[in-house]
Amino acid sequence: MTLGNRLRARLISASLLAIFLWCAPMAPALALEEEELRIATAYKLMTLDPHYANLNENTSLLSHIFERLVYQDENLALKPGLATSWRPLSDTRWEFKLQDNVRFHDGSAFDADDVVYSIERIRDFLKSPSGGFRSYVSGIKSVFVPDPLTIVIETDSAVPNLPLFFSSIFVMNRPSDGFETTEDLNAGQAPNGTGPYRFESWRSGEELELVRNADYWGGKPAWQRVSFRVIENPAARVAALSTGEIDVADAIPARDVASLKERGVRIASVGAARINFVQFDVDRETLPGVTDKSGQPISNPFKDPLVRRALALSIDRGILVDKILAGFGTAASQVFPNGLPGTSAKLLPEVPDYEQGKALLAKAGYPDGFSLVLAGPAGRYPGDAESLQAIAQSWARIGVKAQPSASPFSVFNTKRAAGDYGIWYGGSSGEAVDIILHSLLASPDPERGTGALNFGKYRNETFDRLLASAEGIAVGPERNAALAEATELAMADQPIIPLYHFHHIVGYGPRVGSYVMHPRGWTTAMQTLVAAE
Amino acid sequence: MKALILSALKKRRHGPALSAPRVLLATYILLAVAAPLIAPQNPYDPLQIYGWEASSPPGAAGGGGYLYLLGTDGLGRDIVSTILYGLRISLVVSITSSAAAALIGLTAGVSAAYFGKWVDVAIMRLVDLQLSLPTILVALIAIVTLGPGIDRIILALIIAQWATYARIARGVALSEVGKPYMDAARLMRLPTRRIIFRHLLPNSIAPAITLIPIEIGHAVALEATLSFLGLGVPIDKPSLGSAVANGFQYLLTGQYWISLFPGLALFGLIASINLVGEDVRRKLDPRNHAQ
Repeated sequence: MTLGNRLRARLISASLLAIFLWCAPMAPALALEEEELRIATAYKLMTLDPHYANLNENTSLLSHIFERLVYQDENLALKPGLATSWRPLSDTRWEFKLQDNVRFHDGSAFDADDVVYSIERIRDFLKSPSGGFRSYVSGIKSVFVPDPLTIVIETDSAVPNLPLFFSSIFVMNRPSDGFETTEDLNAGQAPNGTGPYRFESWRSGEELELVRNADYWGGKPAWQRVSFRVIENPAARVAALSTGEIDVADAIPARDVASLKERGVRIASVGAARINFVQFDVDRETLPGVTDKSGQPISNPFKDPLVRRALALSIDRGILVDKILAGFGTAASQVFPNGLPGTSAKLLPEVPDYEQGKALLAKAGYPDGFSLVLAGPAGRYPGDAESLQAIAQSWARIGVKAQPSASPFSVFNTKRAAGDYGIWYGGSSGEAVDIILHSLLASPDPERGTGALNFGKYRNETFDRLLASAEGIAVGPERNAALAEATELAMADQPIIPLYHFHHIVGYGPRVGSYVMHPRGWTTAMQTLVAAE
Repeated sequence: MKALILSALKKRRHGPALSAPRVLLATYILLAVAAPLIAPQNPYDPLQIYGWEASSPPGAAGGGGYLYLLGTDGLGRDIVSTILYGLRISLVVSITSSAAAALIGLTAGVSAAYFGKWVDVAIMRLVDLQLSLPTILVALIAIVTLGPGIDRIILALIIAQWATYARIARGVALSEVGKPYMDAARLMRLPTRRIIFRHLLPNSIAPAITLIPIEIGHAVALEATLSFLGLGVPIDKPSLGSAVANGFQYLLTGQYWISLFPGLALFGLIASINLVGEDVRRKLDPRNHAQ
């Protein structure tokens, strides 16, 4: 018995000693860990293929590994990336000069052929359901490589936005033969890019581990390690940030900003290059959920611009922005916040005018209003489900009885595509005003690739013509003026009701020195600086 | 003297006529019935809600002439009114669904016992299958399949609850089927429907009936859970459960009143129903009378 006790005591002291000795050499390793940046993101990374789908979910995180020829600055103006300069040789020819001395993570050199490979992979190799990037390269007729650091691209017709398109295309390394498949990439064959961080490991939809690319051509990246954790629940992200479990969290709900600040978390925010809106089905003769007050189906009232105008006039954007978004949003009158290139200075957010709204409804033949079901996603965009109810409150004041109906985004998206809704809340983002106008308001035409998000099938030939001619003008003030003019024409007809531009909100802890916001809304380690001692 | 004490003890066990839970439950029912008369606001009428007064703290005065006694929620609905109207939903949903589930469950259980053979097997295996799953899971699957709406919630709760009644009713009915009065009824060649509904059902009903008050309490909690998860009641017509959920996202911001008060109301409602239900069950239980 006593022997046992003594033995136990020795065992304990021996193991304590061992722990102590084991800890001593660990001290430098711990110091290294200091250089790890831990980010909680709402973006659920589902693929390692940078050309698979043009969603922020993928592009935001993969932008650490892969790079693009062109970047956009905080005002969405273009700046050099893997391309040092670019210029039009003629209306249909562009020349890009490439950065010298760039190496992929596997050590091979970057040259023009890798750009050609990336274009070919998107245009010729990847099959549906992947997509989204194809519209950027569909206008490309042929590609020449005069020398390894120059690439000349010829397009079918004038594409003044070609450099902008290359701000969305990630450059991959050409393998020895054939094309890499999405399955190969997802199976964990290390993605090989030129970016500031190298891939280490990932779990689909859960986490991504990155390490510093010490040979990065653009200078030494700030962090030794970067780990992304996907935390979809906003409350959980906020909690992880406030306990210091992570250093950066994106998509912070506006209502949590005040309490996070009280706990010493710093907040960065920026008006996003995007729009949330109400969209009408203006195509079908009768619509699901749209009835008179007694429940009898009526013919589609949204075909009448007066009705659309009346509903637009009767929305209190102040409540949406100040109450629901807690000030982290801007009332909208067009597709981008006023002041960004291509926006109209003449379009200003309207204050509600219920009297005039009622008068317009009466003029359109609905003096007693009508009933509708206002559909929308819940939890996809800041303030989405709450906005549905606030809009219903506003419309009740002109006699329109709106039944808000919020569903998870996947359900909403499927039902909208199936035509189950007559009027709904939606969102859209893009690199530039013309890209949103192109997909949201231009007449649906699969051949020209217009109207991909025009689910309401709005058609306005004058607008289509104005937009097409604006798209043919070289990037600059003239093009911006033409886009503004096209926007004014469309908005007078009210094909959608612009609601608000919500702000991206990011919170960061003491180990991060600063965080630079970008209107595209990606969450990256490149936007952070290490805190000074 | 001894007899007096004994009878007093007996009375004590049945509880006083005006116990606290009973008074509370009666108040709840009264408030729910009178809600449109006494609520300062109709929280389901968008014209009576002022979005600009969203998230007002308890005691704030509103522009519409209201005093927001318990504050407003994130969309400007008065919390007092939301609770009063939410009570109506909770009570209507739970009482209707429990009554319907009892009716269906009893009929199914008694039929299984009477017909036996494959009818028994078919009904009781379904019951077994359902009782092997948690009630909330069954209700969740039902509501996801049926879609949103108050009528759908009632339907989902019926689906979730009928099996309990069926099992109890079958057990009792099995022991009744063999009794002489049943033989007599059969020998008189009474129609099957008459035998089941006039003879077998009334005699097997008592133990299952005692279950109803308890199950109403369960139904209130189930409805609140479904609404809390965002399934069931429409978002612009909050019940107690969805009122708690609406405030849940504001908890970290210090706007405690949006969740807290509907939560307390829900707690009181479920507690009083359960206490009264337990009381009623004890009274109806034949074993208690036998003593």
